[in-house]
Amino acid sequence: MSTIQHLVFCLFLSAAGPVAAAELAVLIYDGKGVAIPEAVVTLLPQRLDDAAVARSRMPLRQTVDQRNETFIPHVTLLARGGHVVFANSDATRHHVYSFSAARAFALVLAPGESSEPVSFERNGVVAIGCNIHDRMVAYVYVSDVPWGALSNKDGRAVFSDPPKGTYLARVWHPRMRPGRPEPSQTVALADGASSISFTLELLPDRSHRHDRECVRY
Amino acid sequence: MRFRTRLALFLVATLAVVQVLTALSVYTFTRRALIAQGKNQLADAAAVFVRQLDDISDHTSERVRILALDYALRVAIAERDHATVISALRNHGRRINATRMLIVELDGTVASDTESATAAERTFAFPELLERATEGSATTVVGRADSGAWMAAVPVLAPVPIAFIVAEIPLDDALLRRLQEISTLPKDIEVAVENGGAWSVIARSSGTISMAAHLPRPGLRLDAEAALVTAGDSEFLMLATPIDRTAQGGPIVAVLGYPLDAALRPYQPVVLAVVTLLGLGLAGALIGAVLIARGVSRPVEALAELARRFGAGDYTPPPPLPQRGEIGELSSAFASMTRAIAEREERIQHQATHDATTDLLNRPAIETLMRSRLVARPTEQGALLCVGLARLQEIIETVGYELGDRVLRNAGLRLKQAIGTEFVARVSDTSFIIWLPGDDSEAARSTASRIVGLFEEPYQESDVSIDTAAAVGIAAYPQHGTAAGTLTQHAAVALNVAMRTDRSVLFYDPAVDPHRPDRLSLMSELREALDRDELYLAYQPKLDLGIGRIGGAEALVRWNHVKRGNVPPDAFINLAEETGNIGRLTRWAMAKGIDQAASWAKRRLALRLSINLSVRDLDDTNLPKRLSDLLSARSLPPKRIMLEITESAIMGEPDAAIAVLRRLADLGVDLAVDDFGIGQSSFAYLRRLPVRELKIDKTFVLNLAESQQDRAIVRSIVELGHRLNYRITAEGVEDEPTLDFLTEVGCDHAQGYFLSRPLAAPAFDAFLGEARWPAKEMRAVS
Repeated sequence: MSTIQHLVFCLFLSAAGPVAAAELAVLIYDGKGVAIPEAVVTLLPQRLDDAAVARSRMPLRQTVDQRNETFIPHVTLLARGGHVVFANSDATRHHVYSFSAARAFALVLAPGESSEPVSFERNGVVAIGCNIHDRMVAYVYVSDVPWGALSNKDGRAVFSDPPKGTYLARVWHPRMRPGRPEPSQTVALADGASSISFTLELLPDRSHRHDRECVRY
Repeated sequence: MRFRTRLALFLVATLAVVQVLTALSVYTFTRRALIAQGKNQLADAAAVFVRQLDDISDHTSERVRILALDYALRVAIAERDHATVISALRNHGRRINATRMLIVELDGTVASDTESATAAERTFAFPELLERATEGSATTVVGRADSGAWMAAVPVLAPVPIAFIVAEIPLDDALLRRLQEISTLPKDIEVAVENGGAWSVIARSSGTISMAAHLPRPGLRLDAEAALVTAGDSEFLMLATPIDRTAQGGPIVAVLGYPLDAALRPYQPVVLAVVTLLGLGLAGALIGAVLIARGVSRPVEALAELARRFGAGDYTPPPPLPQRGEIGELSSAFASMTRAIAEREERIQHQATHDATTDLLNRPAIETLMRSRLVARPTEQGALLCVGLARLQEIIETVGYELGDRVLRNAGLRLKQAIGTEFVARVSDTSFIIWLPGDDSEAARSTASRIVGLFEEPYQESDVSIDTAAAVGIAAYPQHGTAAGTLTQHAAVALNVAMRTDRSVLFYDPAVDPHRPDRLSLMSELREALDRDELYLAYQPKLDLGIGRIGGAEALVRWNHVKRGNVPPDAFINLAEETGNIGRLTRWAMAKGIDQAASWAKRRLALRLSINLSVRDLDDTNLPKRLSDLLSARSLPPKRIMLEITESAIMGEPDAAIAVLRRLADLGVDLAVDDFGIGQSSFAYLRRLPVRELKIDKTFVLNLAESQQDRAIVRSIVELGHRLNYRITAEGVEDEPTLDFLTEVGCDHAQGYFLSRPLAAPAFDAFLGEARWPAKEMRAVS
């Protein structure tokens, strides 16, 4: 993998030009080479003294809906200080809670009700559940890095506007083993498209586990 | 061994062997089947048990998982509210029968522990369990030194894992019993863990047997199949199976047992029934065998007893046996055999004890009868009569045996009728014996006289009339013998003497019995005496009356017995004649006499020595040659020897004996007739013999002085003898007048005590020297 990275890096160097913005595609695979969606990729420029560069492009306001006893989306990116509104599109109540250190809260949403925006003032991953429906999990990734993106179903996260320069790319995924440092790569962005890839070791996907209750009802 | 016993033993043994083998094979098959069944059951039970434990494990972890979803608990854990967490854990722990609950951080440190208030900073002992629990939930079985437990770990989701709840549920006796209650597990289950190289039982069911001790050492492979174990007097199958391959803290096994004794217990009534049947069968077989065998052996024993009785001589016919078949046939065969044997034996007995001709008893039979009588009444007197028929031998030779037999039969009949006793027997061709028990000598004598009278009547048969005469010899009991054999012998001796002496009835007299035992011993001693030279010759001088000098001597044998002293010559000379030993005696006397005569001749004494010959010596045709050899050996002229033979001996002798006499005379030896005058010799007969001298018997000489008649006889003999050219010698001269008379009538020689008794050689020499009659001397050869 490092050879490929090196090669890509060389290409960037050779194509280096006066273009202000580069494009970076980050590909996320698991150990078997299967594309991993819903992985959070963040880019942190080496130089944060440039205000233009250091400015956060992360969303400040997000909505997490609850439909069919599922949080949608499963992973939400949020700039530090941003707010998330929790909506209830189900006909049941939901008891949304978080015990995460970054932000602990609990609120009960009647059917059709939406919550007040919930502010997230600290960086970190906030795991959100429903006390009524154990299966329901959602994550709010709160960070003050300038760039962040989610991988799509092809395991691809694309950054189209970062300027040339050197960045630290980090990846996080809910099924990563907790307590481990996020994998990261330093990437030098030049003109044109470049891409890097991460291979993650993930825990098994437990959301698709055989659920007796679902079967029965 | 008796037939009955053998048969019974055989039947019973066969039955017993068959039954025991049957019982053994049934037992073996049953046992084998039970073991196979037990192995299968154990394998099934082990699988069930492990599955049940797995179920419990699943169930436990599920319950812990549900517990972990408790919101309040999660809040407390998330907020690190330690006191609330502990109390909640205790509360929830009771719900699931847990004995211990822990909260473990994601990094493996123990956050809370119901058993310890200060559990923080301790690392959870089984990180592997947490590892597995990350993926949902995990259980394991933990074996400790003396206990075991399930440990179920479940992540606390909020909604992502924030910690683990660990619950510990004991694996103990109570659990095993509960399991046994709800399922058909075997009674004997043990759960054992390794503890210091050995198995330590941490849980035991309600069973009674202890199995873990028989496991292979920890670390060794466990048997895949149930093993048969014998412990003490109990036997059981045992199967060990690991409970959980992920077990923590050392291996842990479940041991299931299948006691054979218990499995065999349902078969005990069967065993009892089999044993009872066995016993009944044996008893039945025994009774049957004894009955059957008795049916055979009783009659066989009866027949054997019968045969023994026959052997002892009892021929009473046996009562018929009621048996049919072979035994019955044998029985009737026995009966007819008995009759046949009895008849034959009676016949044989009769023949053995009776004389065929007269049908009287024979000698052994009457002696047997006498013996039993004598034994029965030893003090009773008795007499044995031996009846002899004179002339019977001649009669048989004349008229033949057939008529002789009839005469004998008639004689027996007469005796039997006259005496009226059964003790009549025929003992020889011509004699009978009659035993008269209780009779004294007088009665015996009168009976004997009656018997003699019986035979005065001649035997009559158509045209033949046979005259026999009876003589009777009597031996009286107990005077003449106490044994039957002795009595018959002595009666026969008496009869012989009677017949010889023409007397009709004679009692046994030991003095005249020539067959007395002491005589026989004397005879053997005589032979030894001859060898040892105990005999000597005595010489009685003969006076030559013509010249008044001793002209000769008669040699007389004397025996100086070592123990008996001087034995009378009559005693042993007659004996020697009767027993055929006289030849040796004569030869000895001739040798000695010729020696003596030669010595006299050497001294120029003209003595002629007379040597006595027995009539038996004349049977020896070598006698003349022997005499001639002796004479020439001593160079003795034959005329110095004279041989004397008694008158009675010469009479009626066969020509052979006469020929011997002639040959002796031809040698030149003179012959003299001894004891002349008492026999029936005639001068006519004497003239045929080469006799030179006659010796007048001393019965005519002893009383010569007084008896006119004797004097006439002697004078006549001398005159007649001289006319016929015989020399005459008178014996028994005991006084001078006799000697004078003999001289007067011209007798040639005199011999007798008046001259001298017989003298041993030295004394004889002395007699010649001193006597009034000097010896005749040889004339000088001119």
